Amino acid sequence: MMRRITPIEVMGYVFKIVVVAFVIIFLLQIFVNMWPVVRLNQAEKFSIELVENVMNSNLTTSYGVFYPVLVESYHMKIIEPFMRQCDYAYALRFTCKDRDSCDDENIMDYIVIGYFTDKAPLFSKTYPIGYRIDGSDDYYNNVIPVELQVDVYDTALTNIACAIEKAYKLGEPQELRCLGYEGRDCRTIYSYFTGVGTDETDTNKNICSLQVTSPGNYKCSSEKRYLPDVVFQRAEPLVEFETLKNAKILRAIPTQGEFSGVECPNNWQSLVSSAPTSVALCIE
Amino acid sequence: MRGILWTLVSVILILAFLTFLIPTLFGAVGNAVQVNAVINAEQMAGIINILESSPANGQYKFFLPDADCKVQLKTKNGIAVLNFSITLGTEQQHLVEIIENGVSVSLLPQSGQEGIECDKGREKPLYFARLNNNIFISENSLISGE
Repeated sequence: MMRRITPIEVMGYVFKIVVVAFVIIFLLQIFVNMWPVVRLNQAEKFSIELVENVMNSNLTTSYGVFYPVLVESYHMKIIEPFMRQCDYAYALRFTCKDRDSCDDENIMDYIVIGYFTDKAPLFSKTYPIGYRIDGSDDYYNNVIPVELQVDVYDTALTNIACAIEKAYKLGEPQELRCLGYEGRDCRTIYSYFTGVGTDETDTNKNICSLQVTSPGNYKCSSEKRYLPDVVFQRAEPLVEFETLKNAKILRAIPTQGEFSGVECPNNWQSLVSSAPTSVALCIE
Repeated sequence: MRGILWTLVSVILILAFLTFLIPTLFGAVGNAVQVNAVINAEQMAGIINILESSPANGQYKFFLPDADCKVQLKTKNGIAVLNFSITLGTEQQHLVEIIENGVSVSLLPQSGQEGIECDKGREKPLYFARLNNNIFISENSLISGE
């Protein structure tokens, strides 16, 4: 004869079933909600690859030991010397760690080369390096300790400058989304670009971000980027600044023609040239 | 006693679940990473960027994924852009610009082809060789003995 199950035993069985169900649901939940995230840290990767190139560049006598005279010759120049990748801009900051020795050798305590901006870098790292004292035979005892800070930038201006450079050099149109996409604002465009040259001090070779001085008046801010060997049709956003504010897409179009106005013509694709004489910027 | 038994059974179930599913899951994640266009393109660009600052006569062997994929390189006016495309149902592609420092970069595809294609069924080796002031990307080793 079967024993009657008491209500307490029923509750006990129910409780066990609930516990097992909870464990199974909990485990399934863990696996269903697991999303692997792969971070590439591209700015850090670029920084490391850049430093490898800088440490072995023509600025050095051997790995990480720099010629101070050569380094000084690039001080405050906005070019990105010896190596360049237009997706990122960079600044090299050399700080002498033994000021007395630097003063004795007439070497500047602080030297900066590369991209100029007040904005914070996307990635920054410092490396111990040295200055080689000229005319010394004692190689190891005549290196002054120096700190090299490498700042990597990825700003609206670097993006726009890179689009212009790629359009001109590759002969392919480039496109950037302006508003609501990675914080880009196409109002930053302003340029004095008119010709080809290699003099980084020539403002005709620089692109800079705009600074509002008073309503309706703008000037170049301190953020500038030098674009080597690129011919760029001068952008005139001063009049059409409000139009640019609502821009959705900015196109850099390699062309042999002249563009007028800031809005892309309907037939812009027919104006693209694979052997351009200049790059025109327009918005949609 | 029965309570302990239940706990033991639950723990064994959980451990069995984890033992069998975690390797499968991590294998799937690893496979997804291996065929990711961005990761492959960035890895190859990184190899070239480091070779640009390396001494001559060095070579690096990279394995292309076992998938329907292709490596192309566009060089023009000093700019070199590496393009890696992979088809996994839909085509994914990623372009990376190589650091310009005066070293030329060339892709050596088989004659009549635009780029180097992956092999389905094996992880195909791809060689990056620095010879003097040039970097070559080839399906074959360019430095003897490697």
